[in-house]
Amino acid sequence: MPALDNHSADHHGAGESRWMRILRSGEAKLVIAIIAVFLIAGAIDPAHNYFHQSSFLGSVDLIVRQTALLGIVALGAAVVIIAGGIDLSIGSMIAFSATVCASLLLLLAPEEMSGAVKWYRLTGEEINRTALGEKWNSAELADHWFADQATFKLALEKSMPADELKSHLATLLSQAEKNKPIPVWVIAVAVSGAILSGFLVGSLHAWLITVVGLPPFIATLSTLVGLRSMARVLCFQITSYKQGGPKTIINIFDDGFRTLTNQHWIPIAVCLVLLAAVWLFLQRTIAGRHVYALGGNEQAARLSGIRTENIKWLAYAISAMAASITGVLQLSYVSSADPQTQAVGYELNAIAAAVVGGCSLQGGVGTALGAVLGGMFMWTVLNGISMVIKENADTYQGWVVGVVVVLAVAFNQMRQSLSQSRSFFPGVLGYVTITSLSLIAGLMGMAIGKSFRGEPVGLAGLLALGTTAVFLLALKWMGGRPAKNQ
Amino acid sequence: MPLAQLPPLLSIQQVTKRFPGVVALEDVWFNVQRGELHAIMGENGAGKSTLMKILSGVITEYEGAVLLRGQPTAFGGTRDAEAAGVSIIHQELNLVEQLSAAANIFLGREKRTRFGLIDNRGMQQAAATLLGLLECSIRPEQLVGELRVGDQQLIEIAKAISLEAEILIMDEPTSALTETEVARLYRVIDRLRARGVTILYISHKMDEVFRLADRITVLRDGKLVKSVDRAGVSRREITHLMVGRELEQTRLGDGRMPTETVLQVQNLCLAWPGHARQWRLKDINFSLRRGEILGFAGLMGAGRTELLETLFGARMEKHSGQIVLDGQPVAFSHPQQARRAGVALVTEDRKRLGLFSQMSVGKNITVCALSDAAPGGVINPSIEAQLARQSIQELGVKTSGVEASITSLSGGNQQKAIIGRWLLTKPKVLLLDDPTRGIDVGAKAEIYRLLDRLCRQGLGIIVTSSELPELLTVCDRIIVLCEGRQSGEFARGEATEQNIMEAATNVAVG
Repeated sequence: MPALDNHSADHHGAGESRWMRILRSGEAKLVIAIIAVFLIAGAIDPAHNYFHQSSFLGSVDLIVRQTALLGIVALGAAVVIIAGGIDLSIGSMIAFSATVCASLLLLLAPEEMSGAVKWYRLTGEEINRTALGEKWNSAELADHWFADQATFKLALEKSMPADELKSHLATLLSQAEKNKPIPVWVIAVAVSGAILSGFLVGSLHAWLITVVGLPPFIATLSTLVGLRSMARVLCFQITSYKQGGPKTIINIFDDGFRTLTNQHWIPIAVCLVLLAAVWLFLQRTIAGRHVYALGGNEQAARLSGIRTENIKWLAYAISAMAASITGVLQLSYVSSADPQTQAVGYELNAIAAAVVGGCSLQGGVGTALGAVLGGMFMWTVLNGISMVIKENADTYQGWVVGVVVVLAVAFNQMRQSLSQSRSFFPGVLGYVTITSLSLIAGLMGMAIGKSFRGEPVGLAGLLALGTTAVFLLALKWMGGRPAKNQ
Repeated sequence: MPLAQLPPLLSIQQVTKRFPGVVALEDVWFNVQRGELHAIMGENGAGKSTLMKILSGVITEYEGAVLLRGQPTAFGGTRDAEAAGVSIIHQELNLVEQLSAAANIFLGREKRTRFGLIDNRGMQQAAATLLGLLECSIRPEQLVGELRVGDQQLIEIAKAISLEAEILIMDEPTSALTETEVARLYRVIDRLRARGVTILYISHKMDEVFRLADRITVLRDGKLVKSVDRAGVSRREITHLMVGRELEQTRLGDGRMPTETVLQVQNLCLAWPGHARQWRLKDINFSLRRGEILGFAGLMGAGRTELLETLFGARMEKHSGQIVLDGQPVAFSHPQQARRAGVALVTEDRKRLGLFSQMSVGKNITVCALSDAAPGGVINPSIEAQLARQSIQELGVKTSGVEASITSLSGGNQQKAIIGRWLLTKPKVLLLDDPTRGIDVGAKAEIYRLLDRLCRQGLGIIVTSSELPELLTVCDRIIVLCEGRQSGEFARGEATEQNIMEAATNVAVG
């Protein structure tokens, strides 16, 4: 935090320049860690995919895009965590806002949403380039929408007889009337509606917490369960009403809406803009400072004349709105609202990203940049794993996220307890822990061994298990009894 | 006869403890004889608490050695210390409020029945015996959270007796007690000594130490100053050893010129539903003028904190009666309104109610006045730093800079930073709730002089304190509260510890 530091540098004396302090910050460490993971994964990977330009760029693109989606919710989660709360409802909020957005699209533009085929608008140039131009008046054609390009070109290449083509086009034209793209204003309303739903849910959290007096954990746990179910009900109702029968998914075929994420820069830009906004909010606004004060010491904050209930409202609203923005982007990314499975468990990814990025669950500590970098670090690790373990890499995700979170949070405490030369594996609990850590290592060894040899390798697993066990036992017996002072 | 001399029960030999950036103890050595009451004195930050944590096994890593009955100790934790016969009663009591008195006494060494289940009846009987020894009327099955602080402390003492502690460490045991509770504690201490218990007694309070102690050890800045027999020293000498300088008798308040009334309180009442007393505050009437310091004296529970919180709009329940600030009737329901109207409250419990421990000194100071540093709603770090530096300079806060962590400051400097926080809001009325609690002697005097200066600049100040000499030093007038009512008012000339104490202990409603 660069605030207030202009002068203190003088007081700290030599060796504490501004750059040194930036380098020692948690954010700089995360950047270094991200680069390190990238290099290590590239080196371990037998094919060294990271070191080839095309797959390097592809991986960077993938990581950045995934980070953008996770980063947005991580920003929201970070604000709540810094304010001393927790928002468990993020994943359901994403699904709910995606469903709200899709429902509004369906409601306001039912015909455009019903298309089972994609429609393509020919440009005047294309019409002239093809044989069509001779048979049809280009001005007449250019105003209409056609079935997707591939089908249409196929028809042309097969050189349909003129009258057959004509009748084919005529049916297409009659359908095309109904399959215009979704008007921009409808998209705008749907997106705003989704974000508004986030604001409403965040406000509901604030009410449950500040007025009813529920602990944040309970308040957001109830919406975690409730919102997803509400989204499913909404999906059923709206599809029975507009599509003739209940469906569990609302599909979106509209290219205009899908541009939101097909253009990779859009989610990235959204994430960057939100990062800048949240940074400005936390570091340079009074309300933002009050978020830190609230999280640091709620009673003192109130007694300093801070309207703590308003700050909580703000924090929970920001978190839920960030989740609803991600919901809209995800809806566009996967082209369908699927409330049953969408973003399940995403709240934990968001909280993990914030915590890896330096937020303390006790509140009062954390930064916006840290939260986004925390998300990026997690995706870098996940992507690295998928490079090293080729098959079913996604099954390792939870495992990896768990390990990363434990290591990141334990890092500081470990340094502390190491300096006190306390034993890591005391007593019976130590032996049990060594057993389970060795088993985990063994399983990991099997998986890695398989990616090198192409078949399940029990030997590699046993080797990893044994080595880990011996190593940890050695650690226990050597470090167990700290050398006592005389 | 050297042969007849017993080896010391406890011998502290060249103990040094370093924390990152600080040497909390350096080469401290002294002996404690069996059966004596050994007082450890020193200003805050002198290293008393660190030493006690080492003796009681809370801190396990240090340089030097501690010999117990001539044997080196190597406590791996408080359990080891307790097993060796050393128990500690912390200033902040270590009790589980949701459990009964008996369960707390036997916490961690619960009695069991033949079937391995917990033996509640056995524990309650044993607890009753122990509590009887301490002449207190607590029922063993009572939940600790329902007890008064003084009674809670007795439970800790009962626990220590049940552990058959040979050495009992008491860390500022009277800081939260009423006069009667203090008297009872003294009797308990006498009984413990009759049982042969050696007591290490940490205190700020000269009266107590001179009443109780056989020997006094004075620490300063983590170093041993001197270990002396109580009989051979005077209070003045001890004060001198503690601060390392002669304290000039603070004489403040002469020639203050109070002007117009800034705060008027009429028939202020604060209900207490469900309590036998019915009122937290009843019929409070007073006025405060600019340039005046008004003190509120009273025992624990007399309503001092409640009164200040009511004036500041920090209480949840509604009050009745009238509060007139600068000619305007006010009824604050949130501290924000009070702050905007020009009332400031420096809270009682600095750590719990005042400090943002994860923030820097500068941010702690500016938190209430950020709008001054945020032209157009965006905080300008250089204006903010300027504001903070100004405060630091004006109040003489000793810190390495605005970016330093607030927790790196001593208690007195933390308190000055918090006063600075409120002065930045440009208050008309400054309320201070026990502002020198847990602050060392030197810093106290500085705070008194600061209050005097602010008062002379035209601020109306209300201060409460649990220490009467403090109120006598700084106040122009002292109002005494007793069980929520006004039981006396004394002008500067007529107030003495004697008549204030009489008013505070006697429910005289006039």
